[in-house]
Amino acid sequence: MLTKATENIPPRKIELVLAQLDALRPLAPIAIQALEPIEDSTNGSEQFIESIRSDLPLIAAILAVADTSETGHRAEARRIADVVNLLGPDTIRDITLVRKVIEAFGPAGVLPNRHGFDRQAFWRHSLAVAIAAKKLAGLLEEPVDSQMAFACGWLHDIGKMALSALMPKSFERIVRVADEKKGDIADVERGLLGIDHTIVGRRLAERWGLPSRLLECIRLHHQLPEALPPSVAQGGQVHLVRLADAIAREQRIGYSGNHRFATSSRTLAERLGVSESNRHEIADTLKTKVEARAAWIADVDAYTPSPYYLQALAHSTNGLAAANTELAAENMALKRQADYFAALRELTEAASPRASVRQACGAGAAALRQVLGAPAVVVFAVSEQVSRVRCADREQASRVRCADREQARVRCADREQGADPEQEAWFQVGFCDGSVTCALEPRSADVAGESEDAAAALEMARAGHWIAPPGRAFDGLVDRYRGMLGHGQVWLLPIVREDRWIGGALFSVPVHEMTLLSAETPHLRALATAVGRSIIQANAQAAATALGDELAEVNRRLLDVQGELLRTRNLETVVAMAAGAAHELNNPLAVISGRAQMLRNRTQDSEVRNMLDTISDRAQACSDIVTELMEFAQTPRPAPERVDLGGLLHVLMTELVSGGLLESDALRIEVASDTPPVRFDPTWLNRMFRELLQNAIDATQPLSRRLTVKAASHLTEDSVVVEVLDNGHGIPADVLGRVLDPFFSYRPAGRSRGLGLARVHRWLQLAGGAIRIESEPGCGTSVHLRLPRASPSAG
Amino acid sequence: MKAVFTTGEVAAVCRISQQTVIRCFDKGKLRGYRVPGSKFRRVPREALIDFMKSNHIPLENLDSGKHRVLIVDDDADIVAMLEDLLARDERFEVKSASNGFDAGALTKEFRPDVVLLDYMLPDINGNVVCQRIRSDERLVHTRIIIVSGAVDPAEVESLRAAGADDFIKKPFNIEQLVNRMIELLRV
Repeated sequence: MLTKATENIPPRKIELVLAQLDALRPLAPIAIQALEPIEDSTNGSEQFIESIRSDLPLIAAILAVADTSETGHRAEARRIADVVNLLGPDTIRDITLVRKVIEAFGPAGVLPNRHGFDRQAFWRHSLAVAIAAKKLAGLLEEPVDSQMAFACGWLHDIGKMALSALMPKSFERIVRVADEKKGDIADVERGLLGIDHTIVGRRLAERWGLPSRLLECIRLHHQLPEALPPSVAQGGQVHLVRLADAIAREQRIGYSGNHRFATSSRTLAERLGVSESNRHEIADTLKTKVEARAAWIADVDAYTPSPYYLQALAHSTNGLAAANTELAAENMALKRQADYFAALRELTEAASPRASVRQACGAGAAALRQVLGAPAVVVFAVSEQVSRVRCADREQASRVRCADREQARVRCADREQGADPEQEAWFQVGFCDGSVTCALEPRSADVAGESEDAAAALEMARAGHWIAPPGRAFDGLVDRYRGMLGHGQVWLLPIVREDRWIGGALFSVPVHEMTLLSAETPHLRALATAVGRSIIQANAQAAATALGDELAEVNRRLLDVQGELLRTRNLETVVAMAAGAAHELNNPLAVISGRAQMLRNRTQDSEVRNMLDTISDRAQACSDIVTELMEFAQTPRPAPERVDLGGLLHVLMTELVSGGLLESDALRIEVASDTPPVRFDPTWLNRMFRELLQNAIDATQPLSRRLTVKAASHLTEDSVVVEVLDNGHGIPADVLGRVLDPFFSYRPAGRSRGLGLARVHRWLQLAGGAIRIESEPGCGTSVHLRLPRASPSAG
Repeated sequence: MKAVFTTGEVAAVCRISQQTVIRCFDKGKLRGYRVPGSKFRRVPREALIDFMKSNHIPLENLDSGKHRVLIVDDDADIVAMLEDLLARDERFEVKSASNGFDAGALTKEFRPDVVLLDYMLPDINGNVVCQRIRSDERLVHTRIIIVSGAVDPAEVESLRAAGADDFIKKPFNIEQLVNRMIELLRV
């Protein structure tokens, strides 16, 4: 209803007023949540309780209410849940809404309360309307949601509160005017501000995000039922609030700011179809109920904590403490997991494709030590091919490239292949079909027992009871590393993969720690599997490398054999050629020789006879060459004997010196004392050394020559190595490859037949030896021979 | 050279009685034949020689007393040289063959005292020639000397086993060759 006053207020000012609503605090979301209907009562209410648990003021208020509730029980229940159950979820929601709205306006102490607006009175009135509205909700012909009715009642005049908070002085005036004139406060508001509390309330509610039904109530609660536009959905609700408002006012409960009653509650009730008796009942009991709920609207006291506040704090603290303990335990578990993760990560980072088995063992030992916390961990791997256990050992760390040499850590080294066989026996543990032989205790009776141990250990690993004291089979291992492991109980963590032993880890921790560790079995398993995998990889890598090495060796041998084969083929060609040549040449030579002899017999002339002699001699010489070639080509079968090299060489030297071929001090013979006798045809041996020494003599100068013959046993093969060294002019590289070819002659002047070295080579070939020549021009030549060794027993 | 002898001539050559000759003839110790249409005995040269050899009767009376030498070699120069050498020597009667076949035929007819045999013949192995000669019982006295350019100790052994009496290598000393031949023939 427009008055003259409103015509004077410019629309802009109205907007300014409404804009000030932004200065008010927003409504706590929990209040809006409280408005929503709870579908599933149990879960919904639990969730609701969880939401309000940390809201101390709210909890304090609830506790205060519980203390003085209608049921009259003192709040002996200490748990929030019990209190909630006591009061009922609906009540809790109502309380939540009430408290949160009151909180939105801050503590009252800030505002002066002179002739002005009495907040507490206002809240009382609002509460009365809310309670009445809730009661009425169920009594209508078309029932309205009681919760919503309560909310509507509570918030219907909220605009007044807003105006009081935003423009206290103006609102004071309004109140005073309304009081003086005993009129409708809404008119006064309109006159002074241009708007009334219904509009302001609606705006505020809108801002707070309240449901639209509420908005309608707030805006329209002053309207006559008949005047409501048909677009209003919940007309019934609006009427309800109006009726409740009327009842409350008639009962003079609190302060509503209205002194005029447009319509009596009786009339309104009739119109809504509420019976007279019901109306009376509600009206009569309303005051009592409001007073009973005084705690609901008690002022928010921000400075002095009430006992309920402290109680609430205690509740919260307990809850927090319990939550904390849970978190702490979870944290512990997570930390252990993190430890395992870290160990696994380190293991993965340390694993390189080129790691050897012992490195893999070492990395595994380090990783396990991290998580087990034992002073030392020994990781061993079962060798796949050789059934030998390779192991990790700190003492031999210097032989191994290990990242960390720290005293406390257990690291790896290896039993090397060429080690003392007795020591190797330590680790000969074979695991195929569970049979175990421990070389330390070779008594056959033990074998059966030990096999049971290994089989039992494997069974345990499979069944999952897997960390156990190692069986007797591992005594050797345990004793070996006892110093590192300590003197407590030793445990064996088997590393098994696909029912096959990869290896295991030995460590020592006190028994009580073992029970703790058993809780971490899945993590340990994962770690052990990772270690196993890296060991497998290292094994595979080692096998591949060994294979590669073998291949290289085979290749090298192949090349050698090829060279030999080529040379042999050359030789065979020469052989075939020589045989043919011999026959072809000797016939004409015989004719020449024979005829020359015949002519010689016919003449007396000595000169002529001489000449003819020469002819026949030369013819014979030619034949000798052919014979030599034949001999070379079809070497007679050797007749090997046991020959002492030292003796033979010294005899040869004597012959050469006495024959004038060699100075007495030019040749030095060094035969190692442990040189065994050789198996060779002594004639050939003699001729061979003669040939080689002759070559050496030819290559050197008489006064400066230094010749050496050394002989020694070859380390790994059954042969004797002989070297013939000279300080002569040497052989250039491009010639060196051909010196063994038949008919090849290399001399500073002239040439020889060229069969000497070829023959030597042939003899060595037939006897199972070898020859290699090294030379450098200007530095001398060394001829290396390998002669077969005479077997110790036979000759 | 006389090819056929009467019993009287045989007796003269052998310096024995004709009666002995006839008896030997009849007993088969002296081979021969009767003139067809008569009862006259005739003895062919080879049979006479065999008979004389078997009974160790010196052969000087038979003919010139020369040793018969058969040279077997496919090299014409070698053959010419050896022929020259030996024919000049009064002690030898020389024939030659250049292949195994001819050698076989000549051996039968000529009945040499010594054969100088080249090991490498174009048509046949000297080894086989040796064996053939040795398999003929009438040539049991023939001496075989292998003369060869190629020397293979193993083969020398097998040749000796096949019946060769000696082995000489080309080129050779001619005096040594002749002396060796005489030595062998004397035995």
